[in-house]
Amino acid sequence: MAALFPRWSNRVARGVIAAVVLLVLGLPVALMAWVRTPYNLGQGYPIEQPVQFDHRHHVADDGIDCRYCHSAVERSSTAGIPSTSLCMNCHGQIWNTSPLLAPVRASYETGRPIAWNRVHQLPDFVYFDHAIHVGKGIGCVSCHGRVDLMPRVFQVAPLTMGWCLDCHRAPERHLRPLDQITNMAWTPDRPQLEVGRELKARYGVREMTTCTTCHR
Amino acid sequence: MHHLPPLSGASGLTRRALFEWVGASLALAGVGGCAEPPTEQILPYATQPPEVTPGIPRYYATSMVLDGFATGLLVESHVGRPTKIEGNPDHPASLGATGAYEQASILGLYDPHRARALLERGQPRAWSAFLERYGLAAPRSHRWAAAGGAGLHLLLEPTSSPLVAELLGRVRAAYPRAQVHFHAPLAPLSPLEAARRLLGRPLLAQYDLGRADVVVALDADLLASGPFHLRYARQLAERRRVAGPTDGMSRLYVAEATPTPTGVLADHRVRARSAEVHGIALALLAAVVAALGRDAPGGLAAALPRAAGPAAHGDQVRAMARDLTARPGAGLVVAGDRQPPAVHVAAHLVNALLGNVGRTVWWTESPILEAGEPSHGLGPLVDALRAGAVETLVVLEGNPSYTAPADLELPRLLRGVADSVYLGLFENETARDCRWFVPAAHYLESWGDARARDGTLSPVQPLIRPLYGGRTVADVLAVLAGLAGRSTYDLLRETHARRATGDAAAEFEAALREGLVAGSAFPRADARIDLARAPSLLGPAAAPAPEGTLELDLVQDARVYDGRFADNPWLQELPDPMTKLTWDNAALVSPRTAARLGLANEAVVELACRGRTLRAPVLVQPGQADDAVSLALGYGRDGAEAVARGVGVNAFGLFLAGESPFFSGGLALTPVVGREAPPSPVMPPARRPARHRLAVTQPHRSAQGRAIVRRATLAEYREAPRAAPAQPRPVQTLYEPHRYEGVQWGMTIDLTVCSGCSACVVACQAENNVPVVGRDGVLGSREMHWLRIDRYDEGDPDSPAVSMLPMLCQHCERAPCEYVCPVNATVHSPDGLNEQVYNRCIGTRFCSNNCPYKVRRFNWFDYNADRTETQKMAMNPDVTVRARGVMEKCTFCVQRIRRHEIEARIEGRPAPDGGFTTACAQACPTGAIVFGRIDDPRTDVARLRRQPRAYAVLEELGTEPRVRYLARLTNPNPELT
Repeated sequence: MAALFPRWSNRVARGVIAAVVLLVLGLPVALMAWVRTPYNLGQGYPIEQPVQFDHRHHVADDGIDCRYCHSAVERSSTAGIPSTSLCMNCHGQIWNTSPLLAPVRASYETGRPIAWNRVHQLPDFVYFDHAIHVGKGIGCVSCHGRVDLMPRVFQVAPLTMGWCLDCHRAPERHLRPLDQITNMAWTPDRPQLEVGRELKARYGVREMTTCTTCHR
Repeated sequence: MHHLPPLSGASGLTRRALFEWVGASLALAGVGGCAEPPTEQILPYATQPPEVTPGIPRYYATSMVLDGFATGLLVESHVGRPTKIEGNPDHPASLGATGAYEQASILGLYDPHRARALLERGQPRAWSAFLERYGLAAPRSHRWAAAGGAGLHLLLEPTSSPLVAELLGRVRAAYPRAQVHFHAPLAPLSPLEAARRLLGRPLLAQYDLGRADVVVALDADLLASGPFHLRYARQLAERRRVAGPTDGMSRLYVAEATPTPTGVLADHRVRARSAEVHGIALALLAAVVAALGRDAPGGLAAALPRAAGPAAHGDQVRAMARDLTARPGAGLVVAGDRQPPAVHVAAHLVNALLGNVGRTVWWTESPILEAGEPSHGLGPLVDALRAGAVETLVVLEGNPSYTAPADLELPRLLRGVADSVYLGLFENETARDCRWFVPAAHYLESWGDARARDGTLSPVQPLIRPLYGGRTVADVLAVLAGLAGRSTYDLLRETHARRATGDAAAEFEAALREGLVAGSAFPRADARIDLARAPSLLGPAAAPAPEGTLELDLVQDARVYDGRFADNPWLQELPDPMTKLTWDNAALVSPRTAARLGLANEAVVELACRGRTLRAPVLVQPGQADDAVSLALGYGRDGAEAVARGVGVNAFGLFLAGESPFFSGGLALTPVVGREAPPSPVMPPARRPARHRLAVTQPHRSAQGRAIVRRATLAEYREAPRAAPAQPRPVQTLYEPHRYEGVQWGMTIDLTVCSGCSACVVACQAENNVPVVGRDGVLGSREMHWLRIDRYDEGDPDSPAVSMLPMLCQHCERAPCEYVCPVNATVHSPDGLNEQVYNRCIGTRFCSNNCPYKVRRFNWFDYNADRTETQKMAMNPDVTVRARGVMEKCTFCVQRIRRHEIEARIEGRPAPDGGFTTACAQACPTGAIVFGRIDDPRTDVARLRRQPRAYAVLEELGTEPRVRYLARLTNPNPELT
């Protein structure tokens, strides 16, 4: 009896088996790789905002300190998004007819908040606290990047748990003097590790890796 | 051959197409899981209030009012949204503690079943329409407007509010013939009536349990109900908290029918039917007079009424009397609010004879408006309704259609009133019987004021604007008084300013800040007991009920009160402190009575009493007085409250007007025989006792011979202060010991002062976003409480020694749960916490199986899935809301620990030095739960752990828990042991 399948079908069968094995092994690997891609983490993608607020202009050109607007950062878990009335402190006087600021004026007049889109989004089971980080020598730039160079803010850090732990296990690699917290361009005059170890001892910085540090 | 009928509408779908669709939906369901979470939005304030910082909670002082009495509270608010209630430490009714009602009231605020619309005969109306009809300019259409108010009746709950008093005065000034009535089913009328008879004035007795060496509570649940129960619990606990073998303890005698938290703490608990308490009070008085002998006022002994038969419980009563007389001026006899005035008279006489008056007990004016006057009670209103003399009836809060004595037939009479208005939180039974319905504001949405039991003036300030446009009693009274244009806030300030001694605005601000007006408690009234007249007020003691007849006992419910909290799922699921019953009420009978009548748990019986009948399931309650059948009021609701509807049976059906509405003899109890579907068509339907399953969280009370609760008498403790010696087996382990560094946290629970009141359970639920599973969930043992209170009975099952054991995660230093978790989702922290990491948990439940304390709870379903937007507002933002499939348990309120740690470290302190505690410890009225640092030997918790009576539950397992219990001490009278 003639063969039911031609000879080349052996190759097809082997190919299919290899493909299935590859798929079974590769798909989880691919998925695990994919969740770590900047695309999935939202890293480096500027977010559209209802107002074209330009951090580069306000920080670099005008020299406004981060804490003028994010005023709760030293006291509260959240740094605080400024209220409309804070914007109007200046923009009641300058650029007070600019069409770019129409949503701000509308918010101020109606009392309805401006709905900003969140850039740095942590899962709901993560309790990050700004106050303790800036109070113990972690600068804004360490997590948020050079916001002073961003026309539209985007997420610089991956914000994964591994990334958090890198610093929580060895905070000395990122510590800076408390008076340089909001300085976007600060660099240590000596090797960072040397400075970091010294500050770690001075500020009593601990390596906080127990789960309830962040998960409650 | 049977042919199955075709499924209707199924003809268009072939088998193949069905599988295609099923396959496609499954595939798509998987894809749906890949969707990114939506981008969150941040909504900052348009104008940020200067005092608010997002992320930092604020606390405001306010007061919760129950039947007219205020309890001072501090309410936590996150950016304008109240989330948690704590006691106000400066307020006399709270002393920093809270009860279950206060804790759960935060959920009541966000109840999705609250009424939202102003209605006239079910049709939505605007507030302006209401104003037009009842405001001063318009009510010319009413005949009473021209007749000086004749035909206008107001029905309120008892109130102590100066603002409401002022507005009622204005309404009366405008309509002098208008009539005001007050009604609340559980309002304490009897004590005031007793005072009126004995002292000539309806004064309110005030107690100081802290100065009493001997306390006798005659059917008085001093520690868990009534307006000052938090204070009394604290005072009693301070006298019973033993720090060392030389310390003394006060002694507590309780006579009651059904066990209460007060009875749990009693050194001697007399099981007495409620009707017997009168006889006990008279016997106690007679025994005290006899013991005083010649010191007793002349002629008193002869004037006392003779008991009709041999006094029951004679030995115990005589021992009580000797104990009381041995400590003149340091004893206290308290009669319960349910008891008739004669019992109160007897209690007061004992106190007066022994010189306790002025020391442990004194009188003040009652803070309740028109206390002791005929306006309290429904009699005059019902007469007017029956006579057709009511043109307009304005019902302000309460739920009289449900709570009025059944024989008054108030619902029918209400429906007969052409023009009636009801202000209420829910469209309940009363709303249905009234023409107009006005949604009420919750107390957390209201401006107002009230007085505490001792008269302390306590402001009520809103934490949030009314969610559903609710109005307060003052708002509606202002309309009737023609002040509709004025805000209640302004009226409150004016009322307050009239009382001010200096700068009115500053005093008002201070009152709001502190939650009370300092020094506003009433002074002691100068009251004289007329000893000559007193014996005539004692009434004849009822003849002992014939053997075998039953007594019906209607009791206040520890969870829903008089039914007003029945829509609160936290309270419905709170296990009753004594019976551990949830989502139901039941007819409680003693084991002996149950055996005599052949009843078992869950059997449905028909209660027939005073010509009315009611069906209820039976629950056997060890410690219940024989032949007394207790049934909690407040269930069987029939309003629009979806949670409350159909839960339990309505005991108000047996609640009848009269001198003692709460109990009566002559109860007949018949088992109900139901028709049960036969197991096969050839068998006839069986007639067997009808059964109603009861969701009880702890079906048995035995410790199985293990020393889970360690008990000793004070005398035994003095002899051998160490709690029963522990014999921990040497524990061999392959695991490395944990590395502990820095601050170490721990807890102690003093079983000597834990009454089992369950305030901590609700406090934990509120703080930690603990979900509710419903009756079916509890029946499946799936309740989620992180903290439960176990009840253990010892000794005679009829009259057991009851101990309460709050059980929560023990934070074992060698935690069995940690060893078995395959994914490291439960681990140990360097400061001694057993941590549960929800985002790692995959739900194997190995940890729960390996936990000897059974304190781990598993989310079988997504209990938080269908929360409405308002319900979400009740959530604590500092605690993760858990999803389906993860294990959870007590965290020692780690969110509070970390918050205070961060605060301390920012300020440069190495660690928090007190200033906070866990939610359970903060709520605890008796201070039984103490939490803090055990690494610092000066803290309370460290001192308590060093006490010789400290022990760990199941310490023989070598788990080395961070929670230590202090053995339960009692101080029985040596005469009676």
